[in-house]
Amino acid sequence: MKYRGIGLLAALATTLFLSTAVAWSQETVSVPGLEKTCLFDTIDLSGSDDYQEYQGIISDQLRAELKNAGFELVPREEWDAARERAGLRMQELSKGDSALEVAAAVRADMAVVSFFSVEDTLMALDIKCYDVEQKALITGVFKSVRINLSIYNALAEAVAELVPKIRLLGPPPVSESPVVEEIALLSKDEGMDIYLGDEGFVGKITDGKLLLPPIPFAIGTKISIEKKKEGYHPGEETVKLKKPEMIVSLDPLRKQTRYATEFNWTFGQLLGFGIAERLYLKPDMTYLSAEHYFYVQHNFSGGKPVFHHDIRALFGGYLLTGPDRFFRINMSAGFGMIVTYFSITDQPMYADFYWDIMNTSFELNFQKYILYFRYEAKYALGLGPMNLLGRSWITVFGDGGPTVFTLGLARKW
Amino acid sequence: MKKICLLLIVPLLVVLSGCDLFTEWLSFSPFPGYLAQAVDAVDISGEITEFLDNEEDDWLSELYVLRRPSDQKDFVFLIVQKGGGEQRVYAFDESLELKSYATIDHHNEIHLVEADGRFFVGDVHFDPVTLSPTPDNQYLWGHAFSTAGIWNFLLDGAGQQCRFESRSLVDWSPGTSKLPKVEFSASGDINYNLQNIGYDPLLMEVYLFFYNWEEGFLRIIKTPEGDYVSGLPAAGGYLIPEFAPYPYEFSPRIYDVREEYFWYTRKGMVAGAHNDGLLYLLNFNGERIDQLRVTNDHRMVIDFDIDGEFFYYFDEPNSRLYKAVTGW
Repeated sequence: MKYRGIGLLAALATTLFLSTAVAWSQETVSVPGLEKTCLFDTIDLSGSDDYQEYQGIISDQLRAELKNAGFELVPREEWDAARERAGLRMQELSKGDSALEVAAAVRADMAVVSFFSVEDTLMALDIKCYDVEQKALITGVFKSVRINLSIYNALAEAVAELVPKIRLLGPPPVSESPVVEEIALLSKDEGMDIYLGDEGFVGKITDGKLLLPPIPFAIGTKISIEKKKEGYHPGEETVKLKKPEMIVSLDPLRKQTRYATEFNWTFGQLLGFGIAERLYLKPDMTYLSAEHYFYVQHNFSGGKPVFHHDIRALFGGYLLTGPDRFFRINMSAGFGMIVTYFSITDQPMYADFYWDIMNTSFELNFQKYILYFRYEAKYALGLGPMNLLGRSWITVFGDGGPTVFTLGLARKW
Repeated sequence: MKKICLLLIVPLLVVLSGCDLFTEWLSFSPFPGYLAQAVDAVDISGEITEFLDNEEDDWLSELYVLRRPSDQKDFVFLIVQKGGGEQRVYAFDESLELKSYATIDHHNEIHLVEADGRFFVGDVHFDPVTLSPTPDNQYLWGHAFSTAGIWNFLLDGAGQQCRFESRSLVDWSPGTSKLPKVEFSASGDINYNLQNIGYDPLLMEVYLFFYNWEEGFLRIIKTPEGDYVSGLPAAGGYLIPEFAPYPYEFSPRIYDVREEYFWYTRKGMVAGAHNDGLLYLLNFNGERIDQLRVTNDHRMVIDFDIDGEFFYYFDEPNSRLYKAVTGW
């Protein structure tokens, strides 16, 4: 009798322990508010029927894992009917907003989309989970796997990896507006095409504005906006979405420069100025230029002025820095000739030919203008019977090195 | 706003145009400075080519400006010396008209207006009126000046002493031996070369340019002409003035000058700076009064008129002689 009582107590304790353990286990499996799940068929974006078998494998794996984790799955017939009612093709469910629309129609808490594409023998698999009520991305898994025998393990791992991530999330934070409801892009570049990361082309700037189609971006996310327009360099901006209604003023695109006119002022040639014309072989990157710099040499002490015409041809290009950069480095080289004549009578005309070995410019790249400081290394060749500089560096101070500096402003056309 | 800017810019430019530094910056050029200061120039490449014949790669030139006492007109003497020693002296008037030339077979750097009024340049006498040349063979070295109608004086020196000689006004035969002697040993300064002299007949002073090659500085000594003319009483026939009680004026040590280029002008002493082609105008205390960027070349063939108003520059590569204002 005594031992029967002990046995009953033990059985009761065991029952209590097991029921507690089961209850605890149930709680960790499903996430409150996300129980009803709309799992869509895996979509093959490869554009080929060769990989259909993987669609089934991935879908089955996902289904099994989600069921095991305690999620209630919406029957396929139900969500497929909703898809058809919405007029959406199966392929379109790879986009978050389409998937959310169908999931909302069947009153699901969570939508799970999976899609892959295969290039050569490499498969890129993407699985995303969305909170239907919040219209926000909960989590996702991206895997890149080679198609061979190990692919089954890799797919199982990807699917298995997803579920714990959902568990860890818990209920979403309470917020009145957790997603961005409206994004308006403002730009002076009329007709500019706008692309958004995965979404691709989303519209053109019209009348200075583009209202983006509703895409459930969570507040705090950063979006990458690509800008393209004929005759302009493409641009890209990253914008952080901070509030439900975003008005984003886009930086203007930089026009592709075909020509530029330079106005130059050179140390050692300050009583004059130069005008040069650049012809870009590749817009804003490589160019040919021709320059004429006229200056007077005078020492303001009773002498008579001497006149110089510096004429040169250069080939130039930009290093390391693209057309959209504000600070750019330019290199150029070429050949030139300085013609000299005097104001005192009966004097001959001189010509000094030189090799413009290397000019290095540090440029501030504005929309229409370039402001630059240029260091010029010019070497007089001493060619011809009538030259004044002989064979030497062209320098102002006579200390052996090239010391010609130019401050310039270029107008881009 | 534009009007306000103009109102500010115009006076600013006016003020800056009177500022030496501003005008100096504007006058900087990669081309030789003498070009912009030239008031006259002459091409003598034909004459030089004819003289050099087939030895065009190996020749040197020197330039001297001498003033005729009778009318204070300047004459320019250009010496072109072949590598073998033969030289030709070209005589120009101050408008750079070539008046005459003479060819002799050896080089002599003596140049002065002789005591009898002739120009003596590189061993050639030039008549002061006709500039007709008469080659001479004195084989003299050093630096020279003359006191009109009395003596020619020859000066040379190196190391611790500088001894001077006087010569006959006509044939350069030795004259008095009672001349000043500069001795540096008592001062502790040694290793001097007498690099140039300057003689001012108006002030009746002789300036001696000594360069200390050991420590790289210049000292200028101002001596009265009278001491050379009268001769000074001294033991053994020489005045031996020790440094401390030496009666003449010594400049302080003047640094940052090259040892080749020193001239006396009435505007000040001219010295070549270490920076190629740059000349300093110095007062006797070695302070810089002004400067002149003549060229960017290390070598300069240049001389000044005694007033310091003009300089004459010979452009060797183009064989052109320039007359230019100093602006001082």
